[in-house]
Amino acid sequence: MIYFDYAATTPISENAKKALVKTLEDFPGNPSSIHTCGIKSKKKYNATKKNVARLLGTTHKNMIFTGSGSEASNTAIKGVYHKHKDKTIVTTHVEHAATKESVAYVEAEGGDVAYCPVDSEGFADTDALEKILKTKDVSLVSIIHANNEIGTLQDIVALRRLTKQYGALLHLDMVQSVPHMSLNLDASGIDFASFSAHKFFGPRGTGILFFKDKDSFIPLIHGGHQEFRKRAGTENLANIVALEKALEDTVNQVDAQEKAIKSLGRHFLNALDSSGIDYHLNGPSYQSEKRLHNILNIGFKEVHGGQLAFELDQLGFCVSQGSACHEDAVQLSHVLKGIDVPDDYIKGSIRFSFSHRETKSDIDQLVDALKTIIDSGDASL
Amino acid sequence: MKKTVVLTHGNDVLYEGDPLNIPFKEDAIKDKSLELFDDDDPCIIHQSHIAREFVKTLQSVFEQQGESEIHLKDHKDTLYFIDAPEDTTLKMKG
Repeated sequence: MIYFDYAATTPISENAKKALVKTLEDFPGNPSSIHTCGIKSKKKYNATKKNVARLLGTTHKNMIFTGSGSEASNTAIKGVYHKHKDKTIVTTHVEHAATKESVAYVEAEGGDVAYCPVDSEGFADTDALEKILKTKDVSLVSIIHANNEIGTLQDIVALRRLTKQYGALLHLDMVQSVPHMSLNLDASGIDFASFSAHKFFGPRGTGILFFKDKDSFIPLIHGGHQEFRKRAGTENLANIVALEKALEDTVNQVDAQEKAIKSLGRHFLNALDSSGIDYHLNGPSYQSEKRLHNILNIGFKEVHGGQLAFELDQLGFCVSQGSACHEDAVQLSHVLKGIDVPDDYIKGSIRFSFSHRETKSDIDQLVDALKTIIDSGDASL
Repeated sequence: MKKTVVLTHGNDVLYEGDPLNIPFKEDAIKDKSLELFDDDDPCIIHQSHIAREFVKTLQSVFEQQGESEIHLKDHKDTLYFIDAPEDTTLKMKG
């Protein structure tokens, strides 16, 4: 199989895997226990957290580990809502399900949610956002920084300028951002950010919530005193150490990896152009620096995306069709609907997401397979 | 060109259209879901995947026969998932 679904999850790196196993073996104690084994685990946990924070440009006092990126986003959104129930939360229609469903929860609880429109490339309309901030008492603006379906990168500086001006907090879902850029969270001025280890070659089941002020939200999970009482539960030390190793490798190699990724992406689009396949790139143009270059969401004209993904799988390619289950119906992606992808292409849209590990030969094989399937008519609408 | 399937029973056309929408037995979907996903209550996306697996099997039967028309009774073990009388005829177009 050739894997083109890195935005869904990345395989754990060898270094992270080794670190995970070694930590399981060497640190059996509960970090909260006051005996030799526990103290050893606590020291390892603290040192690891400090290094993770340093790699993200913040301090260990401004982050907690969570069970996932989704938990991090839920904590930020619901945590701020429960602190300021009478205020408005602002988001967009192109969010990850973790944000989409968290604000749906807020609405169901009687909270006020406003939606900032996005343009046809998925960029938040900052003029519209300013109007909302002017007219409503907004507690939190929650926006996906690097869109998981179309790769759009929001303008952090513009968003932060507005939220700061109007006294709102800013949460960015940065789950897809980490493997593709260096971050300095403290310098960014944002108030919350969500991360997930398995998007950057770390283990599944571990995420991070960054926060500027730990008193700005109420925890989701109550219990022990872990994570400044902001997320109870015994720390998953092995996963956290593996996250650290994966993050360290990612940060150290980000520039070289991005160069390789851009080259592959350009090669993919050139190969599609040469193949004669009728396609539409959903989201920002590939030349734009305001996008992730490893996510290519492509609509194929008058093609059934689900069938195309199935046929690709039969030929040995893992891709994502980007639709979702919703009450016994397969729904088109809310992100693609949110950016008004042309009718001829939306049903045939596939998300290809790759890493620096793939080769031009892999891409060529993929394009050959696409041409074979599309020309056969097996995936036609 | 998109393939279509016609199911006829005597003079009655039971189904004509996209192979993915052929009537499949609910038990067959459930059994396939258990086989593939260990899940007896598949979501709609998993049901769609199962339908595609069934259609792939149906297409392979047509290909092996080398004919555009087959009789369900001749392939009742392979095509166990089709919800139609045993003496149904299937035609593949396109």
